[in-house]
Amino acid sequence: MTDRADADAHLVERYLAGDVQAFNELMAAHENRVFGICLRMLRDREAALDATQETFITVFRKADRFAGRSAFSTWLYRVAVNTSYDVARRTQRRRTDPLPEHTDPADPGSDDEFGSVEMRSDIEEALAGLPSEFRAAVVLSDVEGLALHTVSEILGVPVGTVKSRVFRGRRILAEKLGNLREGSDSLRDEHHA
Amino acid sequence: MHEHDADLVAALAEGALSPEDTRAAEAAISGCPRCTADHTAQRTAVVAMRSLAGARLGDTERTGLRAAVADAINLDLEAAPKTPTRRRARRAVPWPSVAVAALSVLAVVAIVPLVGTLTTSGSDDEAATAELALTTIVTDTAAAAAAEAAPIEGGEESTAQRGDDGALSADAAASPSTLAVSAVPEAGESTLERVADTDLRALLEDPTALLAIAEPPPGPCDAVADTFFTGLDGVLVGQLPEFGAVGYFTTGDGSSVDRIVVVDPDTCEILSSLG
Repeated sequence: MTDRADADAHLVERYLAGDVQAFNELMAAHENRVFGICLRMLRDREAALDATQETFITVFRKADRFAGRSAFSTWLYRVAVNTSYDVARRTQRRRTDPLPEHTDPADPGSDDEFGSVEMRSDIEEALAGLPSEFRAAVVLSDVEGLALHTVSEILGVPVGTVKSRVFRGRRILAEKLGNLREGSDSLRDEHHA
Repeated sequence: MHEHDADLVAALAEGALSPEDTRAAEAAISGCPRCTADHTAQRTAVVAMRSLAGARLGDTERTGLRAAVADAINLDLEAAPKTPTRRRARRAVPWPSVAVAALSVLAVVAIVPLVGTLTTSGSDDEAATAELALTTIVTDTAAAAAAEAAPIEGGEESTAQRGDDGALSADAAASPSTLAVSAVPEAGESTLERVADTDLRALLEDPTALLAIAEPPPGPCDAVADTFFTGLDGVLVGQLPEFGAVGYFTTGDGSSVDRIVVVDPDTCEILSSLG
């Protein structure tokens, strides 16, 4: 187990023993990533907040059933993905609402090519257009940077399936981004003409 | 590279290869148009997805999220100790018992003229007799109040086991979070503990400080005082920093307090009363 996994296991034990501070530490360690997963799965900040809340409520209510066979985070992210599916089904929200532009700063390590607000919106739109099983694999692997075997555990599918979904999902994304960019280029040309 | 190796293309796009392996992979795909096209697409998507990394909750969102989760699992965040100390649950106020106590104390008012007044002056014998009568009744009512309070305080565990829909759920019942009891006040519920009768009487043994700062209303909870005293004529109001509360009271001879009601200045709930 990693240091993080060990620390989480210890925190869960403390929480089970009634330590309120352990709750805060578990939240602090995972709330941003859980929110990130939900946000990229749902593309709506309010819905993502709802899903994040439901995820943590579920996990803390069932913490006594956490057997520790896998990392706490793996279990937590699995609940986050499944909750996002549920929230999406319940709300039947059309994923066309633009995200607030000021909220999510770009990863400093990412290429400038996609750093603009306009491009980020295009990327989010492209991601939202992926079939949900591809989207989950791509979000966990490429957005959240989780290892393939971890994504495999979270999604409950073989590593080979994860690889396939990620590969095919990226291919679709590239096509969508190309089309979106061509579309916006032609619109820009028309505007300047 | 004549065969399409998706894993290699993906690894190259992710930047997961060593410099040496990267050079070898780039050389290999250069002779495979399909591989090159795939690599371009994969790399484009990887870079785009990484630009979405790092989503963060805003401060307000974080605070709201933690509070909502804690509330749903009946966890008292404010009880998180800065240093390991025993958690202190908010004591439930047995309002029915308080009412009984108040009525009993009112009975004291009828008795007091027979044995003396609640005063800082007068003979020691008279004061002692009055104190004895008051102590006897108040102690009895306090004991009764405590007896009635016990199931209420014990009942917090049952309350804590309820889910967010208010019904007992197997999950909630099994949850360790039920070890902690919510201390979040409900709407209109006082955040202050009930002021002990003994503490209040101790304060009134020397009301000089209270009288010095007392002023006529308006105070923060005039309506409560109006009800308690049946009118605000002659009523004074003063801060009780010892309790974080406000006291409305009337004076006997100007140097003593004969009736007082202590209220939470935020919720105007009665924390204690005497006289």
